[in-house]
Amino acid sequence: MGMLVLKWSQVRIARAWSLDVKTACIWISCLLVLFLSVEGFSRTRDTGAASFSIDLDKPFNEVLSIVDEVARSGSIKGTFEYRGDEQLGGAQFAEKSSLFPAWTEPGKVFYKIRTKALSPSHFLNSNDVGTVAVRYVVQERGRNSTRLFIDAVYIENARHHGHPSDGYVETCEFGEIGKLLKDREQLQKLAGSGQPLSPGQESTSLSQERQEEIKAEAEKTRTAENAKPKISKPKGSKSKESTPPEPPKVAEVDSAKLGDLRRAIAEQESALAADHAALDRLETQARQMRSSEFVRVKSDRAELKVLPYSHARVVEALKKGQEVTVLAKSTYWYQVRSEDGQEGWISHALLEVRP
Amino acid sequence: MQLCDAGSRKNYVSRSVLKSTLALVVLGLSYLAIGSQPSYAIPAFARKYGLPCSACHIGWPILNVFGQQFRDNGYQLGNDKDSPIYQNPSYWPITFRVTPQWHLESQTKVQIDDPSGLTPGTEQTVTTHGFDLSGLDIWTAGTLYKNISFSVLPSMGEGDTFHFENAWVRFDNLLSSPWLNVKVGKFELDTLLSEKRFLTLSGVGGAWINYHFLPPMQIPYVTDNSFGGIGDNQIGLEISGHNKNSYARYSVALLSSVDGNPGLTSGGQGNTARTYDTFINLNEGFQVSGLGVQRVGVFGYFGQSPTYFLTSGGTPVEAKGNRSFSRVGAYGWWFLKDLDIETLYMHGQDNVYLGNGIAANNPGGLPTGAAGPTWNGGFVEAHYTYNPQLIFTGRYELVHMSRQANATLAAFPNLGNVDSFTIGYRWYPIMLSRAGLAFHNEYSQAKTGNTSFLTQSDQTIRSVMIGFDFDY
Repeated sequence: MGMLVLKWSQVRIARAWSLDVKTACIWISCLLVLFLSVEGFSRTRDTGAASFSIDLDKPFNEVLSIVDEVARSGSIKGTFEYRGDEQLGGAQFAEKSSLFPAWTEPGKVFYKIRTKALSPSHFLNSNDVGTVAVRYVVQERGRNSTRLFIDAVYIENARHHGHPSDGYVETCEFGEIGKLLKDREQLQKLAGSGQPLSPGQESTSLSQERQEEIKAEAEKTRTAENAKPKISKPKGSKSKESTPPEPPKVAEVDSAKLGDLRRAIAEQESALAADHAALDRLETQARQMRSSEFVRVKSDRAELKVLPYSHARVVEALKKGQEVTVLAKSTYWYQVRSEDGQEGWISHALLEVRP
Repeated sequence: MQLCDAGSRKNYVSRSVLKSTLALVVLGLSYLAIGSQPSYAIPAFARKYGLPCSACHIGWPILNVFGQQFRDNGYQLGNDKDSPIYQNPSYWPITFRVTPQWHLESQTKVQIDDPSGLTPGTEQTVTTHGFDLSGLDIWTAGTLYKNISFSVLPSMGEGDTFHFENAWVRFDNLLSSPWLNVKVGKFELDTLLSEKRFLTLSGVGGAWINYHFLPPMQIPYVTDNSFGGIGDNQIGLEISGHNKNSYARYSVALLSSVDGNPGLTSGGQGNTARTYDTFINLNEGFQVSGLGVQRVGVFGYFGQSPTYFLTSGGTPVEAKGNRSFSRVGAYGWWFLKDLDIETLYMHGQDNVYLGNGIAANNPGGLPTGAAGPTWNGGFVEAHYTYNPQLIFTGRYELVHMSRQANATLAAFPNLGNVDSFTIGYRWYPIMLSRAGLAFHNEYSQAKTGNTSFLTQSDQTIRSVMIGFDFDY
């Protein structure tokens, strides 16, 4: 047994790690400095940035129902395993996830989870097999204002290493939400009422069949409303079945007063609506003042792009010093509105906070 | 046909001496031919499946957990992507690898001949450096059919002829179970800490000493065992298995005692082999919350080497007097997020005849105090993955003799001992499914005990390597 034991007294580590180590360290250090000075050498070390967030001029419940639907869609946009794929299928809806710290602020939280994902794209330094999780937080900000946060992260199974998204996943997920919100708006217009759709209509499927179904329901609703008996019957109606009993004279006097009252109520409702509209405008302005940053372009070669991608189509070239309003933020890209009203995405590295 | 006489035996020993003298066997100056230990990675797999390199590699060529699983599963993902309908008919699963480089090699206390030839000469440090090329690897691997995988890796150095670094076929998932796979051919032993996949390439650091160590037989340093070490690919049959995520793995291999040389080449003589070796490896992985998968394992190589030959007309025709040797050890691979540490302990022993270079049919030739040499060794190697494109590595390795082969050798306290360290980094500016390029910078040195030819004092060997390791 004694033979099996290392004779540690013979180990002369100190001697081996003497002058030669210093020489080696100097050698390695010199070369490291050389290469660290090369731009891009350390560019991939990034812990990610703030989540995607955007303020929407939509009622909380409407946004909530859309986000819920996207969270249950079964696929995660903006990432893939195999080249040629466009999304990550097999995702599951979840109300809780240990992959994110507990959300302690107000708001409704949803998760979409995909396990056994193989080095998914658009997660920084993605490696090995693990779990992709997308978190959506919907916050009510006002009567017609909702804030939406989206985060995506990939956690390796083996090393428990967390890889934040480069922002593209959140952007694509929001793209899906935005698309559904627009579809919802269009369907509401089709319904002709301008009112929110019934709960049955809230599941805004994009399929042609569903759109036709909603159109048909809207038409049915209008038809039904037209078929309802009118509260104020037009004078001179000759229909026996619908002829009301002869009202007393006192009632005729009251009717005149009732008309006045109705007009007064209508005026007050109109004033109230105007106040609400003004309040909404003020809220929007205040929100913009609070959350929308006014930033300035700091580069001569800044381009506003359609999508948050270096190779995306350019909307317009921005000039150095030009001010833009931030509408949404993802990890590396800001969605902004330029002074001439053009909206698009620009790398945050090209912007500076206005003094 | 006749038994070798003493003279024949001497010739055999002389051949061994020639083969190993000046090479400083332990440290593998044979590895000074840079890149003789190719490390594997195959962008062709990434091309085949449309996956990024990061799916299988922590950093090329180290495998991550999924990469190990993919390899264990016979280069199959186990999903419908394995089906030929997903593959480009023009897909050609082949990868080339070569490493142009600048390197420096230095060795202290080298015997320098006296020009007059009258005196033994002197000792001094010898340093050489310059631009160079590694050998060329042309590796193809994949599946021949569902659950039949293969690998062929012809390799050559500058001016050399090709040899097969590996060539095998494997029948995977037999009886529909991942626990039964059979591989036949020349292959890397199932060492989870794979020398073929480590990050160091320099002359000294390009091999794990423990995987190739042979004990000294005499002064100056000469060895006799023809086994090249568990770092050498071997020829034989391997039965292996693993659980679904490849955390639990086993392998048992029956190998010809030829040190991976084709042609039944035992002890350097073709068509003489007649014995078999066995290699066993067991390992288990387990999750540690917040840190990752930790792996531990044990291995053992139990082999035989000839000590003389039957000859016919002076030509060796059968290896005889085979005597045993063994290498047993335990290892761990510890993950602490971005830092992973490989640790290994190994104990080795050679039979007294192998240790002293004496034919087994000549027991009277054993020197005074002859004994089977034994030694212990190990290493600690750390990798810090700053990101998948930049990995730092450092290693400390030692081998210390615990029993010399005879009383004469025992008089030299450090004989056979090796202390070595290596530091370096690899930066991967390109790591794509079609190609990989790594900038490699490494310094390594080793101190070898009592190996100088004239004074029998310790020697130090140093290597510096700066190169571009690329595959396509």
